[in-house]
Amino acid sequence: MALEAVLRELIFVVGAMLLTATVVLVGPRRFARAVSDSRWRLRRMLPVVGLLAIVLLIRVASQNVAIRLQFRVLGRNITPDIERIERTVFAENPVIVLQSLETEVLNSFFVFIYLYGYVFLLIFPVIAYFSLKRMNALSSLILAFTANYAIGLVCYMFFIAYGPRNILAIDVTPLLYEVYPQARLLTNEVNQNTNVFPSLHTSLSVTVFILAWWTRDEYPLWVPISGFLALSVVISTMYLGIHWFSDVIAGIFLAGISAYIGITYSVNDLSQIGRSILSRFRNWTANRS
Amino acid sequence: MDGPLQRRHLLASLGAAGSAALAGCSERLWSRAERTAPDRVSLEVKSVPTDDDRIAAMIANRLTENLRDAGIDTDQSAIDEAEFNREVLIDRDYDIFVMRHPGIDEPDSLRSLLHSDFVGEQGWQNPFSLSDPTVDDYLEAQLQLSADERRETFDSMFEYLIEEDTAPFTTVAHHDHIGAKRRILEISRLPTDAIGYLNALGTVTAQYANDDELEARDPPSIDVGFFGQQLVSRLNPLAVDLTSISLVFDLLYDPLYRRIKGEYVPWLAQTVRWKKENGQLEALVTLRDGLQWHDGELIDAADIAFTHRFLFDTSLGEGESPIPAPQYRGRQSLVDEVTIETDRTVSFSFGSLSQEVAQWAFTLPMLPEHIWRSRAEVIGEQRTEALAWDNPEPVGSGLFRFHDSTDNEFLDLHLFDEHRLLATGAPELLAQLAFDRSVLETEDGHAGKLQFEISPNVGSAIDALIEGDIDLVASEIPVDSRERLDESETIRPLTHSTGTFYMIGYNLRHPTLTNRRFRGAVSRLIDRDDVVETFFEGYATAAETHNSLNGVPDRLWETTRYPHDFDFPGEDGTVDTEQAREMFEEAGYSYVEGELVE
Repeated sequence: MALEAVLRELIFVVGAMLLTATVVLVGPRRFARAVSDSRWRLRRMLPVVGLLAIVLLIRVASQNVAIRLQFRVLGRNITPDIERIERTVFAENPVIVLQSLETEVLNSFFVFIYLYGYVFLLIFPVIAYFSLKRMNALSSLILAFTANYAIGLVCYMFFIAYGPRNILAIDVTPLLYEVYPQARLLTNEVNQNTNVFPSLHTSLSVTVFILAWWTRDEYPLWVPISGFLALSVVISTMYLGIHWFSDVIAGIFLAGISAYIGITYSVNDLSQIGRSILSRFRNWTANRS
Repeated sequence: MDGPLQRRHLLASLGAAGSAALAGCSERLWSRAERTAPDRVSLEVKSVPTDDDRIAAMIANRLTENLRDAGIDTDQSAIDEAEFNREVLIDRDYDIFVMRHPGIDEPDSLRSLLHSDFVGEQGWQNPFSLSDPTVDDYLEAQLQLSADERRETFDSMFEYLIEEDTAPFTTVAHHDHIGAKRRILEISRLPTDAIGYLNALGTVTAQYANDDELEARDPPSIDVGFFGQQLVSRLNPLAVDLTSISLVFDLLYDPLYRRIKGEYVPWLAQTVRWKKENGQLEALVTLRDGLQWHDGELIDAADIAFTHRFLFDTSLGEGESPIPAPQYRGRQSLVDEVTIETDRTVSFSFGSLSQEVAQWAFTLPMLPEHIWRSRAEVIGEQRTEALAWDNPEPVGSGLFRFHDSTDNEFLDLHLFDEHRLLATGAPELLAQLAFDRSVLETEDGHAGKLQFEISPNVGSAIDALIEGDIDLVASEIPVDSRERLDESETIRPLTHSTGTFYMIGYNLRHPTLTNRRFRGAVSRLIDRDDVVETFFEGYATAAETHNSLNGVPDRLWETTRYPHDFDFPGEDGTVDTEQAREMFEEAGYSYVEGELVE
């Protein structure tokens, strides 16, 4: 099937990028050592990976309910509001301005960044932090990813929004699908076209960059590389007509919160906070009855 | 004790000082304070997103810009097709919508679209909430007339709707359906109905037999590509909120009459005897002998009577009021009563209708009673199981039967060997075929397959066609992808002019849109020629006559008339603010600080 072909290409390209980056930035020896005593590392990672798995599981299990809740009960279509705000603030919508720079080179570059660059940006730090002597950077990263995803999903329940390509039909070109129509097979698998506010592409990329800055002593070279990639991903989401400027701002904001959660808390802290909220809630209901 | 008194004094002196100050105020401020401020008119234009229909989104986009240029505070909103259908066609939750209409082949369709009898119903039944006694009168009068008299009645109604600005919707353009095929195939027309697909299957199969370039396929088959969010595992012909491929229902379900090239041809019916007594029209329908449903059950008179009763009330009397099937409502409402005479004969009474109008009712798809009777359960307000059901494995009596499907991936249909057309070869039916029936014959009957393959978007569908994975692209290919059809050596476009059109609809429950003069002005606010030129690149016909502005294409209408004063207030698609303002001022509106108020 065509989807398999798209996936195969993705795995091949990103795999090559990861291999190169691992050799250059991590070093084969450091990586090999980490793999050889991976047992304790994996055990250390168990709680945070478990949390991520739970979030993903909830997402998969509630897919149908979530769509119904989103469209019929909780969701509010905020597309007109976003468009209105941007119309008031800017003389010309930033997406239209970016697309006016369109060239074939830029098209290829941003499509590459949006698909391959993004996946690489998310996976490489996992490998890099796994190879460190301590596991706290990796568990912060995974926790921050989880926070991004969980908060993002809750936002999507409340905000139905379509990207600029779907509303500004005359002025904005759906460049991603025009340059690379098969990409739709992939994006359909992982997302709906109403999930744009906030931009998870932006928030996850910026999260990676924030953590790269936080770990700059370990991987100094990763700071400029991840910075360049994250900035490119952010611009690509707008250049390709997928996200509004507002989505990007919300995404950066979400990245800040998620990185803060990832760096400050551990899964243990979070479960304690959860438990105390739950017991306070129980007391409150008990007092009322 | 003197506290309150002192306070009163203080208040009094403050009041005096205040009024003295106000007296010095300008008259302008006074007029603001005294009068209730005029209301700003605000509107929302709704369509599906570009992902679902680029043209609809572009028209909505242009209309929104033009309304803003005319000083009207306008938002644009988009929502997925299934949800859009629900909001517009069921909940009536919109101000202005832009949408593709499947087309008006029979002018009586306008009755269920515009008559006030249908205001409370769902689907394409008066979604505008129009209630106009003059329109109702015309629509009732035409039911009893034929030929020229009937057409003149429609002409008068069209004139009333356009010249008096009473129309609740306006047509932008009727467009061509552009599909594509592998160049090597000898199909010359894009198939759009059951006969078309049977002919295409026959043509391609005959070609396989003689042409070495084509790989032989056993059984004969065509792979038909569609694209978009087509939910092929939900195949309920009665539901409106599904985004299914409506063509599939024509392949799966047979009517009593089929309309072929404008003529009614008896299909499940063998004969129909018409009788008019005391102004009451009756028809005695005799079914063909030995008709079967796809599951092997026999089709009898009870199924025919059941279908009519069920389409009128899908709750079969269980609901507080009838819950009609929102599809086919216009045709169904022509029939007064259906009576079972014998196993194979049914009589229809049509009241005072003319035969010309009445026979349209025979094109309704027939449903098997043994499948649908149990779906009559009421499951919510104005909702029965029959309307909500997915009908994942439909049983009909059409030329093709359901074989297999996976949501958003594929749908396989097989030729229905027991079909009368194939089994006994009724001569008047065979005359409709463009190929020798024997090419589909095998040792045990006729065999053939249609495989519908769903691609996520137009680009990937065209890729599949170029690769030879599919034989046809049957969805409407947007004009901006046409270039790719001409570039490739191995594929060719197939153009077909259907009755489908893009419309702008108004919700008459909106306080401003109830004003017909306002609607009339908005209807002029889209440059139809420019839409045809820039959005359709010429593959459409701008609506500019009375009939076409009401959705009836010019090729179906002999007496086309042009409206007075229906010009676009601007040039090349762009509104001239001055002209647009003048237009709305003539309609009785005024402007405050550049914004239209009422």
